[in-house]
Amino acid sequence: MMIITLSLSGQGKFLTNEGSISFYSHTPIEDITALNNEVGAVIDGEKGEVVIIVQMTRFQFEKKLMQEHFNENYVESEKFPRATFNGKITNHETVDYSSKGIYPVLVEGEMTIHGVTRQVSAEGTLEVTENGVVARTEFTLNPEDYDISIPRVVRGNIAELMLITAELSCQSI
Amino acid sequence: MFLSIAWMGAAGQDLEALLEEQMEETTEYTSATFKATRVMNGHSIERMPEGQMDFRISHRFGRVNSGAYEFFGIDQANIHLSLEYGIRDWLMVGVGRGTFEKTVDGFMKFSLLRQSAGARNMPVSVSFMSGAYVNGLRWNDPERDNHFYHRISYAHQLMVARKFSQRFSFQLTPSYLHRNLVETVSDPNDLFALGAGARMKLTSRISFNAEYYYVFTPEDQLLSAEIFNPLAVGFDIETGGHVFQIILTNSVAMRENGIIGFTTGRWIDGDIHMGFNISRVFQLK
Repeated sequence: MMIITLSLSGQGKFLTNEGSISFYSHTPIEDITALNNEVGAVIDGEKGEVVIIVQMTRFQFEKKLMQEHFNENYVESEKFPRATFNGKITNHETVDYSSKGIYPVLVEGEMTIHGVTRQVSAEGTLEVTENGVVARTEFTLNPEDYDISIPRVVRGNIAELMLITAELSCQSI
Repeated sequence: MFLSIAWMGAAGQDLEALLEEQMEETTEYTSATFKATRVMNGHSIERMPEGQMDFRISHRFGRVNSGAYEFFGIDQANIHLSLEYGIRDWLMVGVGRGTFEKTVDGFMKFSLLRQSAGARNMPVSVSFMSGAYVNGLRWNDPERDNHFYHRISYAHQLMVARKFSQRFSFQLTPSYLHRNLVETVSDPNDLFALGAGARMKLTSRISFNAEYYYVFTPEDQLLSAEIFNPLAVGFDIETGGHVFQIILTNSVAMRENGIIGFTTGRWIDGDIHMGFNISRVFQLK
């Protein structure tokens, strides 16, 4: 039984530790972007399960001071070093992992940022390639939902909604 | 059947464990041990990051005990302006001009070790600072054989700091000060001091800071002016690109030559100066 389980789990899983997630905040005063190229993600092609781990200190900002503020004052990276997503592709039976192509998917699950866990869903695509899958999605996120408060003095510089873009190129394992 | 249910339930965890295994252990470098490049008067281990220019305006008023006529010191103003720049993340330089002895100063500070955890473990951050200070006052004795090098003094400081928790950081600063020319023959050209600085975070943007230097004054040498150990307490207030430091100190000077070598005020006598540092950071590249 054990052997069968192991061989099953070895099938149809896709993994990366170099996925990229960026966020973008736009206001008339200032545009802020940050990119993280060290995102860990694993997709189970059989069950449609998805786990994503984001190390907060790995977000690179153009302004180093901003990066320090992000980690120290906003997401409190020492206290909450990671953001995670743990969920499922709800329509995963429509994805044919054996034939190349781009499949629209809907992902639902629990996202934890700054120690706050919320039920979320987002639309995206899953591209089946030669040696893996590329998951792409774009959604907006309100920092206040995750108890990340933005002081009034910088309210004009930081958008209410962050645009999150993810591209996770996972290799078959 | 039972086995397969158990397998289903554990799937999410298994997937996470699988990912965990694949993710390389990273090194997390400690950031913001102090909020500014100064604890209060003296240097902290922090440097300007590469490509950033820090315009600093430091200000000390007169002594609080000078009374109502002097508006408790506010009528007197001592200022130090400086431009400081990060050449690399580990190397910064700065130039400045201050009221105290009409000083023009320059310094460089570099990082030797950075506190980190994870793949690479390092318990402390270490930086080194070297500064030169040029006294700009007219010669008090023009008849004497005066040379330009007489105007110069140097300070070298090793800073060893640890951020113990998100809220508390502590720094030790062994310091060496050399003055090419001193007031009298009985004054020492060299002074050693041991500094200690601490930061206690009160809110995410405000911290309480304190800084003290113990100056080892040689007993066999008389100092022409009685100097005391400088103590400064105050708050860091951070607002986006600015850091405000509000300070109470017995030292009117804002650079190492004056802080260590010429703090003539005494806390218990009320020789306290109110002051502030404003740091405004610009991104140059």
